[in-house]
Amino acid sequence: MIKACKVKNKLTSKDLTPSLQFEESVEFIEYDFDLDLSDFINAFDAIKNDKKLKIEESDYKFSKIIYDILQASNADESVYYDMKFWQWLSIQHLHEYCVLRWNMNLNDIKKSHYAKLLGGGGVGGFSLHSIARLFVPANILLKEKDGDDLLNSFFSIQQKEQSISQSTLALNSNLFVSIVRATLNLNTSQTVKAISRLNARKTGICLDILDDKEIAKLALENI
Amino acid sequence: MSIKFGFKEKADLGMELSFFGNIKGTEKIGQDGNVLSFKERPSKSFNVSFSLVIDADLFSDVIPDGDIHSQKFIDSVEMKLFYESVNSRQRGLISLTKDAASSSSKSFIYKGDMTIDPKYWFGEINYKGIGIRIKECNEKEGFKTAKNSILGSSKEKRLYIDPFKPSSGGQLDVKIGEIHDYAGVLYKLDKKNMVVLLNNKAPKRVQQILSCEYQTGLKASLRDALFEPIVIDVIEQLAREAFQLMLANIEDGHVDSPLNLVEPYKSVACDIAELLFQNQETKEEMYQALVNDLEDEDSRIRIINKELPMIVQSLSKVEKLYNSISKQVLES
Repeated sequence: MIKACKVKNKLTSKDLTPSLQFEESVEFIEYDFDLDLSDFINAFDAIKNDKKLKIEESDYKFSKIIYDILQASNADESVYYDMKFWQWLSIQHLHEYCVLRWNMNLNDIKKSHYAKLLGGGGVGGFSLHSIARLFVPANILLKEKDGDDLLNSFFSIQQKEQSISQSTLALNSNLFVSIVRATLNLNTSQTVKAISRLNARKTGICLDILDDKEIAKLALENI
Repeated sequence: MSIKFGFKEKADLGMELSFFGNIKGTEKIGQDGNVLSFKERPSKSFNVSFSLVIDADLFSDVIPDGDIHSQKFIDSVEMKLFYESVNSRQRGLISLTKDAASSSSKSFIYKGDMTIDPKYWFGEINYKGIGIRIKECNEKEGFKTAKNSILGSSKEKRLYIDPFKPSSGGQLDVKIGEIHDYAGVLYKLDKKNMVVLLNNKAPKRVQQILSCEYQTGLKASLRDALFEPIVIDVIEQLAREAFQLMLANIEDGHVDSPLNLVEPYKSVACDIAELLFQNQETKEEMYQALVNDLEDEDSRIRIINKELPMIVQSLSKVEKLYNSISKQVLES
């Protein structure tokens, strides 16, 4: 068990050392709950030790694990969307996972690597962060009866995950579920088309009040 | 069904969303009252009230349902408050109810509230009032008759939960210093310290002119004119870096908004977007247009290789400064 924390101020690349660790000036605030990360770390160790397992094909698995860890921790939901928490968690405790997941060379850090530990700006901000991107979809989808299938489908195609996560429509949890459900059995190009179709309709039609069937009808027309 | 967008534009002009009542601890940002910001991040839940005033005439133009005061009309349209907060990952609708006592035959007034627990909100929340058709009616050319059509929307209002931090602007210091890595160069943009270095090995008279502190006169004009091409080049370097930062996660299909950059990249990228996409109505649309064009490889190459060198020149005062020094030299 570890005491959960968050960084005091949202970090930028200037707050990290060249090997993507905290600079000494970074300050932390303790939460009043603990985290047991052992399931995540054990699953990660198993992947590190078995070359047949591919970390990039294990997002669904790690998504469920991090969701269960947060559920068991008694963390208030306000923590879930506070990037300062995710920044602390990824850099302080899950740094090695993040490095391996994106195949980073710590001696040759690219600009794109910072967002994997710090999150990004805009709609895709959470989906760029290595751990938040696992948790957020699980937190929305696993509340559904068919949530397990939806979560598995969401992570099955990287393009699907990106297209959905980076659409402003997905900020509405109900719409997020409807879109994942509508694209359940689609291949990559069909998924991209379906989401583009919805994005194109959002100024003329109020998608936020549509139900699953209506979203699917709009998204899948002529696909 | 056909959609005549002119009607929606007309409807948009006739809908005015306002913050209603005082929100303790906030201040207005800007002149038009569309943006409020807390001075300090609130710690307790609070209520935000809204009023949406709609010009009754526009309903006659956008809705072919007949009498706008009839029950049939009232049952077919709903007014909603649309909210969206990217940093909080929240978006949704709140029903607005007609304030019969305040409404008249010329304008309808709708009101609604939103309770905000700041624990769950980060950054800012954007609001719009929207009119939605909740029952379809007989198709009629030029009208939005389909169920769930957005009939019109107000201008956006914004509430910053985390206090608004004004842009620090883009002024870089100029210092005389050593440039080790290249021989025979006059200046260098030092991105680490965000300073423009003038080479201390440059001829003394060049250093003297470029670093002089005259406010007016020939030397001041010469300094400003000589320096402006350096400014143009530095802005272009900053712009290229800003684009690189926006494109850092392009492999994940993500292009960042210029608004999410740190200074001075933010100001440079925003200035370029505002000049490059003047045909867009709002600044947000201009920034999004830049994001869209950078995302596409062909338009990205066009912007960087063709547009950027001209845009940074347009942003500069080079023509004016050259005119000033030319005039002084020719007339002396």
